[in-house]
Amino acid sequence: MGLIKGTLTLSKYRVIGSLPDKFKDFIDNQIKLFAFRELSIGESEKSVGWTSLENVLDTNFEYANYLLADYLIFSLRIDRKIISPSLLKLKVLEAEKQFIAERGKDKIYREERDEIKEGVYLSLLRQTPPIPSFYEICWNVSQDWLLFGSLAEKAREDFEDLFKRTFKLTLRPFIPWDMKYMDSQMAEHILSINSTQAS
Amino acid sequence: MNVSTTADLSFLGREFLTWLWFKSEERDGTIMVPDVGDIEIIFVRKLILESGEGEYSETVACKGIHSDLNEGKAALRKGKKIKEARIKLGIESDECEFTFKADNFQFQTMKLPATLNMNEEEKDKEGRILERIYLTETAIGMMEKLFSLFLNKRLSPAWNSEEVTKIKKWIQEET
Repeated sequence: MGLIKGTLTLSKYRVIGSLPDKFKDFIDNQIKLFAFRELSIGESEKSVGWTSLENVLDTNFEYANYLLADYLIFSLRIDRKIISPSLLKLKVLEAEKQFIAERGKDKIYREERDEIKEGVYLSLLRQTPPIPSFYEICWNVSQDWLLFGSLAEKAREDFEDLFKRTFKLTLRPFIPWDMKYMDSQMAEHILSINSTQAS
Repeated sequence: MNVSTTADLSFLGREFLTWLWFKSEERDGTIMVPDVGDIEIIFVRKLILESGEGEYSETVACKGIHSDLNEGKAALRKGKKIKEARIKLGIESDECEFTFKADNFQFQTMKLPATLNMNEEEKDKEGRILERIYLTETAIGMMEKLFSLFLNKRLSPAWNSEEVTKIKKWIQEET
């Protein structure tokens, strides 16, 4: 997003729900609980978690370093392993060829083919290093809004999901024409314009 | 009465952006905002316009400095709506620039005014971040205020009797 330097790209959200009374303790516990963990050299495709804003390697959040005046500032890290579809296809063809040669058969049943494909995919996943991405967050707790440093749908979905699991709060994209936050007379008026537009 | 909260009202974002362009040109890049005063809004470098929906949609991208304005207006004349624009916003002595995406009211590659100088920066990193948050909030808040001005106008009887006529006339004018 660029809170420290550079340009900013951001989506604004409303934060819906209430934090517990001792919210600072709650946040401190939860942010550490859902901090980023390195992907094991295993078969996971994705790892998602919080890191500190200034040092993305810091997941300890010592001295509540995410607290800045009225704001909570931290980052979301998403590590994703991406397998190229063409590489997968190639490796599956090779594995099928080897399977036929080893078994002396000229035909592979569907179940066998699925098994081969699954095995190749997991093996590639183990060999592939994850690609990390970082997204900044600036949360104004007293005013119930936050800024998230991306417009990308996938990143936003991962963020909304982890935020909900971590802080037990829901996020709703901040759009000024959101009828849920408009008085009903105005909302009805806008809907009447909308139907005129559509007709 | 229960009002549906799921209707797609993104057309309001596109209408807002067209109105904002018109308003900025009406007074040479200056808009009077109640309780704030004059602010500067200039459409710069990039405009994306679209008509239709889904697979039938047609998009026009205009890039450049001044030539794009003519192309953009020509596209408006053909019924296209502004989906995205690069906007320079000046409030008092602070100036920032961003790409505004109308459908979801989002901000991309926002360039903030220079804050503290490098030496001060190292000493006061937190102050610098707070200043950047303040500048970002101010820019977003101003766009929300401008939207609210637009919406009040859009819902008033004066929209059809005055504003639409003025906007239509402006669209027909060559830049």
